[in-house]
Amino acid sequence: MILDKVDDEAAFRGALREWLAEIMQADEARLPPKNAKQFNTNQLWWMAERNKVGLGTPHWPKEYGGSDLSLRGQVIIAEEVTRARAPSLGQFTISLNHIPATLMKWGTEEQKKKYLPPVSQGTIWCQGFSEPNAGSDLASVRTRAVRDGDHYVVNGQKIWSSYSMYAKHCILLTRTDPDAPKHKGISFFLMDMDTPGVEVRPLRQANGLDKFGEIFLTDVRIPVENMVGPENEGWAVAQTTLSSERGINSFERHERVRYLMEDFYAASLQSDAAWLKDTAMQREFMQLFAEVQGCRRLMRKLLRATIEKSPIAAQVTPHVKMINTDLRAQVGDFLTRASGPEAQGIVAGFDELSTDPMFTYLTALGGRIAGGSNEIMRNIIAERILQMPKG
Amino acid sequence: MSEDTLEEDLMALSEGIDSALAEMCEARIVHTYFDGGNELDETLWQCAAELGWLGIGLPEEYDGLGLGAPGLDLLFRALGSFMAPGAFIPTLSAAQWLAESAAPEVCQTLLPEVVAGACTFAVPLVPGTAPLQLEGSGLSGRPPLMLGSRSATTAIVAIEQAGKPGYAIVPLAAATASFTPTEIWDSTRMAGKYEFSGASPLAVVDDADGAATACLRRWLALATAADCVGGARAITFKTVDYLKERSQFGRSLASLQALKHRIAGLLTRVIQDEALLDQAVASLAGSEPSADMWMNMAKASAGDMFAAVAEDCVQLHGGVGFTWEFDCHIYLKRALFNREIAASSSVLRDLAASQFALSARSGASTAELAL
Ligand SMILES: Cc1cc2nc3c(=O)[nH]c(=O)nc-3n(C[C@H](O)[C@H](O)[C@H](O)COP(=O)(O)OP(=O)(O)OC[C@H]3O[C@@H](n4cnc5c(N)ncnc54)[C@H](O)[C@@H]3O)c2cc1C
Repeated sequence: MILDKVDDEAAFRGALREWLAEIMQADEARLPPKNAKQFNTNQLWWMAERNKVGLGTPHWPKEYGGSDLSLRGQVIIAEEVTRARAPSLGQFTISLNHIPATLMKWGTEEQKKKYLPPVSQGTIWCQGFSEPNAGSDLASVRTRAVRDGDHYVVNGQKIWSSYSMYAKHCILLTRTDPDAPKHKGISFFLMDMDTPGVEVRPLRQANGLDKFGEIFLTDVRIPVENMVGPENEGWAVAQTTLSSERGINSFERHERVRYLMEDFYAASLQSDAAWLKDTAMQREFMQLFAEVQGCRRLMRKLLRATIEKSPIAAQVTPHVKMINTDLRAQVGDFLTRASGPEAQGIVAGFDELSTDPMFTYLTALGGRIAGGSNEIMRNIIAERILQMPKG
Repeated sequence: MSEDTLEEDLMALSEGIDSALAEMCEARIVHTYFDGGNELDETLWQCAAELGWLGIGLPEEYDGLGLGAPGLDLLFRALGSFMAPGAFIPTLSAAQWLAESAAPEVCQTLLPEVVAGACTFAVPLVPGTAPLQLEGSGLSGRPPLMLGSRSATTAIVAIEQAGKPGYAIVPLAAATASFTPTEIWDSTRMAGKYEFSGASPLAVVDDADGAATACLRRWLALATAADCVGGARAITFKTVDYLKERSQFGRSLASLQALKHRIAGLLTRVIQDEALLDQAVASLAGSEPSADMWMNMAKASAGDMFAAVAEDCVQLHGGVGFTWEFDCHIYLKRALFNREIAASSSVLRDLAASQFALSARSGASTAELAL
């Protein structure tokens, strides 16, 4: 087993590389998916492959199907996976990060036993937080949950829920007390997406993919035992959920930016690309490359602080979110310009491994908006870190 | 034509263009076109022919309205503002180029057809690159990506004939020119690749001194820069409207100072580039030697500005800005495509720098002459 070698870094990396070299021969790994559906199938394949060697949910406690892998071990896996240009687990973002973070802190034993182990078998979760009128102002969610015996009856609408069309379950923010101040009347549920009354309408993104969707909820009956945390304490639970967004997942995504740049440069050398003779473009490339490296350092610092439960984590998090998402957009824009007119044609596949510069660029624009927009990050930096007055 | 009558003509025309476009290119109709659900490009083209837009810049002897660069500037700002689809940039730029570069018989054959809507052009996205060899047997080979659609009737192709550079004006016949459209991100425009096999040109324009390349670049740059400022202004105001409509945290987003400043900054950039384009258009209309320098800089600046503005408008719209259903992504994709037309911003600024150096060396002050 690869994970048996985790205490000896060189051996661990060696074992990972060996496995990755083999897996990267598979069609699923070599041929980038051409549409959202293929991406979905590919993701399921990749989770299954990882799970075969114990790398499905290695960072979870053993009792819930994990291997208690240290953060150091997780970093090494992420480094090796990106180095191999192997796929991401983007579709499992909520399953792998939000679900364990939330349930470990707030879940009942039954909830943990029921919901955690199936993730490594490919169970997709989605996040039903945002609503048409509750985006940045998430605490104003209006989706209503009303107690009816041993169920809650839920009515409302969620929006921009990534991969909701493939999800089996959803973490759902609802309003249970409309009369309380807005942060105090929210409850947090685990919802099965095949419950009667749940309807998903896919929404197309600017990059052409139907990767998120609207969720319409009409008299959806959710069992009382699916509530996470106490009634009307859902806001606190949601804070735990959201704080998991900047973990190993964004670390891995950022590592890919580095390889994207290196690969692009190598390909440019090989094709003797025109931009290499443009001094201004060269300088811009090097500046971006330097910033990417700076961000890689910051990411590691953040991961360390997170595991040590250091207060530095809260200080660094909003900066990292901004830097990382801005850089991805800037790099995408650079690659688009450097590739010239040919980049205006839609060329390659449709996932994190895509080498289509425009796709990379357009996709990156979502990152600045999702997960707390970069304007909200600036508010957090100004108000919580710099202690400037609200307003 | 005196300057005052020109102004009046343009004003009158402008209102007509805006109201026709407001109706035909209503945003939902453009979105449907974007998704392949209607033939807006064709209906718009017919309307443009009927209203005389296709000859707006052309001399009256070819049935044009004779409004030159200022007329084209006005039309393209409006087309950009409404995300109008169609082959306007290649066709109208090629027509101006022909009027200046081709023999009168050629113009007489083609230009009235352009004005009537019967002749549309495919042109190099970037003039002056990768010429094909023109030999006795005709024109063969594959030029780089061209602006134009399957229905283009005539192509302008960079060539070399006996070692000398030039452009061939090539009637597009199925037997000697096959077209493969490129699926581009901006589906309001059309581009693709031709393969010529023994096509015989209607005429050849010599480019030994580079004047023909400069001329084609100039008209493409004008059309594109005007599209950029028109588009940037429109998406900025649409974003203002959205922020006024949208409330979060119990208040209108438009009341947040951080966002007000952002939008104000965007409008300042738009206005700055409109002014720069005004300069280029005036220099061009006055046949000033500095016209190309200003136009190169105006296009570079407007292209970069439009891309940056449209990108920020995506962000300011939040989640809806990232969807296919809102307008932001269409403006953004047009901006990114525009950035490549005529030449990249770097190339245009390098050209402008050599033009500036030339006049500086000759002791002239470019800025002193321009008002
Ligand atoms: C790719 C993508 C994936 C997503 N996935 C999910 C998901 O899986 N589940 C889910 O629940 N949600 C998801 N979202 C939704 C996301 O969380 C929201 O879009 C985001 O919180 C912003 O909210 P909004 O779209 O309503 O924008 P708004 O809040 O309306 O903001 C509009 C603009 O105003 C700015 N703004 C708002 N308030 C302020 C302020 N106080 N100060 C300064 N500027 C402000 C914003 O930054 C933005 O630029 C996703 C979004 C995207 C783009």
